[in-house]
Amino acid sequence: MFASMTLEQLNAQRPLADVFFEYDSADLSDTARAVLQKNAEWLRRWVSTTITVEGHADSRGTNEYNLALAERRASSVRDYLVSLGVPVTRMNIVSKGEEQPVCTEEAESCWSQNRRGRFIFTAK
Amino acid sequence: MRRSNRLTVHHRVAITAVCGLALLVPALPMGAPDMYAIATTPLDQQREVAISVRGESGRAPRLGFAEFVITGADADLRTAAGTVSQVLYDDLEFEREFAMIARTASSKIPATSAEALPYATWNEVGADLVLVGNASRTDATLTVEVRIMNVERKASVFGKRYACTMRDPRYCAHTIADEVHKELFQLDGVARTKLAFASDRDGERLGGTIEERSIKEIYISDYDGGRQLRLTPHRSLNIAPSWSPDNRYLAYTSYTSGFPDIVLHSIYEARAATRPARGTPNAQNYLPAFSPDGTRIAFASSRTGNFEIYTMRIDGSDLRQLTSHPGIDNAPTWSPNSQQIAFTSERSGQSHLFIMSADGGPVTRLPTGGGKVDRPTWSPAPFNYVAYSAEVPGGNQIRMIELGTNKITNLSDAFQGNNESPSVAPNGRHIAFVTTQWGKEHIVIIGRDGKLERRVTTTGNNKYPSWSHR
Repeated sequence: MFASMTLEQLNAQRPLADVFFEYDSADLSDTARAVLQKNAEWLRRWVSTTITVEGHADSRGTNEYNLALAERRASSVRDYLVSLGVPVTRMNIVSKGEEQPVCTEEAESCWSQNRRGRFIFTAK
Repeated sequence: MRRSNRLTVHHRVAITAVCGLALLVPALPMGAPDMYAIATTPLDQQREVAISVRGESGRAPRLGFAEFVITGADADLRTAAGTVSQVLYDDLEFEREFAMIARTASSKIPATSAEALPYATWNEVGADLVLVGNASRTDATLTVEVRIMNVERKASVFGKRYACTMRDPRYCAHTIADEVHKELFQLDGVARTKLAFASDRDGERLGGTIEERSIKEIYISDYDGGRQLRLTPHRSLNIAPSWSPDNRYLAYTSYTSGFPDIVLHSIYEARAATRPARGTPNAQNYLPAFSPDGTRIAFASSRTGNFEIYTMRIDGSDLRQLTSHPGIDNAPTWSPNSQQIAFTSERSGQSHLFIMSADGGPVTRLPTGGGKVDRPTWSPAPFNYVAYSAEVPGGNQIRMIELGTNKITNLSDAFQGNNESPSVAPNGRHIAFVTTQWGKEHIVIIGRDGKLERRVTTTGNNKYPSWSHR
């Protein structure tokens, strides 16, 4: 199954779940850690994959600060995955600030979805 | 009419000679503003300018704006003259040196030459001064004569003929407005300046995936929001433009290559854009700011593991790291003499404003009036203030601090929601920023007294405004 998939199909299937953050925080909650533990398990199994971890912020806070905050979120995710045994050489990070929201309503139901770490496969 | 060109020949050569991945980009389908040579001819003797312009007790003179006399029955001329007349009115209103008499209040007064001006009628609507215009056309040349008459003395205080081009009546009007302000008030107006900003308006129309919806391209418009043109064709995320001092280049952050680059883009000439700071998995680059002397670009980069401030020459050489602190250092802005850099830092807890010398010398913290602050923008000389955003309950507001006295003024309190990313006009009198007052993110201009002067954008989300130089 994995062997026959293209990179595009792998990215569309999204075997690595997003992790979510509290407002103005790059700390990993217990829920986020549990998600990352599953993701790490997957990454340890499919050792040929490489990923970019994207950090994202919600629209509150200022644009410039959110570039730095989202970078910090991506770093937290990467560092935790490293602590779980995923080689740092398989991961890049990039900050998207608040520029790529999943959801554009100005309400917590939306903001909470936008404060996220997201995984993009770059090789398999 | 050529404007001062502070980017020296040496630096221009450096820009074209930069090696590295070239990004092929088209130029805007219009010439640089200073390529239009508008010939001006004084019309008649101007008398006692100072006495004639200032109203009694120093109040702003009330300016009546006569309908233009149009010589010729050509529909294109009529349209062009209408544009010149409306844009000129709006430009003169913008600087608030004149108290403008609404055109609706004087629309019944017949359009006449200055010689036949019905002074008594203008006096009745309260005019101290009346602007009289005449437009005619010879082929592609749009000739506009403007006189400003003193109603009491029945004398001209301003009179010039402008040989403009039919292709660009807005620039014609902006030129006239700048000259009127300069001659009558010794004021450097901003009518010919421009704004650059990032907008998702095209991606938004496309719909589709998150990435497609979130395409942001760099746009350029007249300062008043007229003629909004898309500069970049990247179909990716492009943000945070900053003008070169000669207004011919924009530096901005582009995700075209996957990792944020600082791109240097020639606006009016078709030449490959360069990437003086190339994004890689290990070096990502944000928020470029051109030094006012045109020699360097300051930016934020996470290349050492968190956001620090760097500067480099505009060709990417001579990279210098100015800050080194585990907290976020971000959003650099240059002092007018290019000797200092203001920035935000979390080195003393939440985000505060700091100033350091441009080679990374000792750091001084500025008072800000409370709340997390962001995006400082240093006003141009001779003004000496920094505009910035500060977090308040329910959003952010724009403030400014006078650097001589550390006096802090709230500027945007009349606006709801999030107000952020201020950029200061080259004459220091106006501040453009992003507001969510109307739901989406839009760019507006306020005066230093907080009064709304212009809403610049109306479609899509628009952010990271940058005001051009004069």
